[in-house]
Amino acid sequence: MKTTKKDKNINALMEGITLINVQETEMRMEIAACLYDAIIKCGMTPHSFASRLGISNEIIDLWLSGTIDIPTESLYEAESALNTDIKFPSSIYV
Amino acid sequence: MSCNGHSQKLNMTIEFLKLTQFSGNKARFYTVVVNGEEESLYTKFVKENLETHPNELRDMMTRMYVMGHSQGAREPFFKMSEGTASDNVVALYDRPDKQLRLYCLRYGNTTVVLGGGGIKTTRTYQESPQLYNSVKLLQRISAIIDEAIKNKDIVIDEEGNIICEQILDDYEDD
Repeated sequence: MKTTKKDKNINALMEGITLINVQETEMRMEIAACLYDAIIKCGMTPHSFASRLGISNEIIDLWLSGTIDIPTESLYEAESALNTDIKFPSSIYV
Repeated sequence: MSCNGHSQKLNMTIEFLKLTQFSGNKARFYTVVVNGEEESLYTKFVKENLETHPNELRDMMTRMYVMGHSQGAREPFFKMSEGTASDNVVALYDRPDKQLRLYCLRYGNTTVVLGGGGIKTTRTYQESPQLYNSVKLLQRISAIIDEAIKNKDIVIDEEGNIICEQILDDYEDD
């Protein structure tokens, strides 16, 4: 299998990514993944959950994409609507 | 067929390149070279947007690295059904205030084949010739891969590796 490990442009951009960038991105994506798993576990789809929560499909898609920081208040509302304890990464409770 | 796919019907040959920069134990990332061109689709995409959108490219790379190493290529991280229901074309989500779109093929949570894309300034990708062409090309590639999987010329294993018969040497960029 060929690889692109010697691609200069990709490697140069990757070198500009800091550990903090990775950790912040990972946190956002992990929270999104936890919420997604909880929604599926409760037998809903993201869009049916959006409807229950009274938010648009675009908003729930955005939350679950892991590209933004979901407000903590919204996470509590989501948890309450699902009537379950979501196992979010512990650092969001700090 | 080596680590390639070819379709006479579609008159196209593709060759996979593994993106070791993002691949980890949770997901494997690949891109493709079409018809023996010098550069892969993803290499071209990076080159085309490097000067104008380096931060967006870096954000996408960070997300792919995290998927590869800890989260997997989970469904909600992608905008699904960018092509038709019968193909695997998706777009990598970026922050809503960003306009760079990268289209890919997703095979479960473990395998992603990166294609091309560009700046999305129109409401839908169909309104942008560049984005439309990127999606159409990936749809054709998806058809080739599907055919190769059906014929057992390509196997995607449980860890997300694309397995083909021939192992080729590393790609030399220059």
